[in-house]
Amino acid sequence: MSGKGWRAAADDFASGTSRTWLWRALAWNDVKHRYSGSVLGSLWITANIALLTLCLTLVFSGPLGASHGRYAPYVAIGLVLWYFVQSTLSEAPNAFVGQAETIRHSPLPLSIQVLRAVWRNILIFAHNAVVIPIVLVAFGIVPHPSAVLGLVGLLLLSVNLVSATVILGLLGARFRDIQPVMTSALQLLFFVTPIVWFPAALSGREGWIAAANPVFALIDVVRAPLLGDTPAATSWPMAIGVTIAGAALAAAGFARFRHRVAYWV
Amino acid sequence: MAHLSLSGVSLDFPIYHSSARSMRRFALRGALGGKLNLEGKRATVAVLRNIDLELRDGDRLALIGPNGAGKSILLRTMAGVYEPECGTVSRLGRLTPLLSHGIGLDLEATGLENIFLLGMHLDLQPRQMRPKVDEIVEWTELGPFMAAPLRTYSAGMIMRLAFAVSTCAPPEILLIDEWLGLVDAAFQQKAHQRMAAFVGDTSILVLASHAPDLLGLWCSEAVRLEGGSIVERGPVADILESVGAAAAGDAA
Repeated sequence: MSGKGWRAAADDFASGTSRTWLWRALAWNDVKHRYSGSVLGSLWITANIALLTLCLTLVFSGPLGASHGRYAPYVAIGLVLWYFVQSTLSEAPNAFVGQAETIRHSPLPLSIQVLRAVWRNILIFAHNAVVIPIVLVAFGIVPHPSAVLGLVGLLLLSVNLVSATVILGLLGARFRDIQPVMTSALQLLFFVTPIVWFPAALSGREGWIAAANPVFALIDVVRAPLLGDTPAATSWPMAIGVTIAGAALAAAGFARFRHRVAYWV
Repeated sequence: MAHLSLSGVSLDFPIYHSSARSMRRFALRGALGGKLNLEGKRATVAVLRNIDLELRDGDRLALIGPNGAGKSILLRTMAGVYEPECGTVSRLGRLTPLLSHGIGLDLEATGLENIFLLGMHLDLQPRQMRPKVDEIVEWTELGPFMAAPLRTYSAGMIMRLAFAVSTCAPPEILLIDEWLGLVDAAFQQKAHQRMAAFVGDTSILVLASHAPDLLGLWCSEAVRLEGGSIVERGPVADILESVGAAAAGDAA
């Protein structure tokens, strides 16, 4: 790989990130008009999460051997985080293709489109996150000072979603069948990741299913501190490791293929 | 001082047909022992060949040539959309590419919001746009529609809005691909006046168009492109004349 590609990619990323006013405004505009014409707007997602939490608690807390007070906050926070991950990843293959007109006719940095896509999902996440304090208060959970670590976890999660959007955005621009692949992959991911079930449900030999899952690690390092729990021993190392590896892969992919995106879209 | 220079620029355009875009084909090629290369074996078309251009303050260049000669691709390469594998492009000065109408338009957003969206895609921050809004609204005569979503506008109204925003802040280097001619007839005269003031304030203009009168009006110099190469260069009147003569010769 030539130094030129790396330098151009770094310039693109630097000038993209510095245009905060641009990607934030575009993301805000996306969110604003996506729900125009519906009565509850983006509250639908929040309401959906709240309702799902209620139903899952009534049905599953028994079989999973957990009290309502233990299960409901666990699943509510899990679902809010999962929705963040799932919507970002499912939109990621469209990050560049969806802005083909702009990319083909204007020299604005490509990183704008990545930051816009992630920021749009962060805005929706912030909206859904109102469920978290409600459920914590409802079940009398007083956040431990270590809950601050959850914010560090959230930062790691967001960085990973930026990396993933770069990688999936490039793939989605080159191969148009990434989008349907993502839909089924995300469904599978939801079932194998301890979001509505506890990792303790896995027997010793199955423990790797959670331990090897970077999405679980990233959710765990946000959720466990908020609940006053300790994340699984593997979670922090995995979360930090995948952040570094993901960023490196995204940077390499961006440096190598960035200049081709204008031809692909 | 603005400056735009291209030296030895050549560009190959990859052609992706549907099978090259499929991951199944891609995987099969790998499995069957093909060369595993994300680029694959791609068919390319040479779209620009060895372009040398040097533009300075006051230059008004017309790009002339038949469809597919490479005019639009050359403009996009000047803008920095495509990075040539061969040769260098250097720019000095704020550059505005008007290569497609309405980059950044959102049909769900209101007219007013679209003024800001269009501006942002021209790299104008909302705080830079705010003082210009009144003038834009007045020029377009769309005042009563500003609060309505753009999808309720007619094509002509959208074009007027896009034109007014695109021409609200003269850059140093201006690249135009023929779309400004699309403003509806009633607005042509008004549009020409606005355009004259806009172009007058820019240092360098490059304009691609099929309309000889438009080229003659805005440009002083011209290059004729054919098959991605510059085949002729000179005063715009001379080039238009030689193109006209060639067309007449073909017709005879």
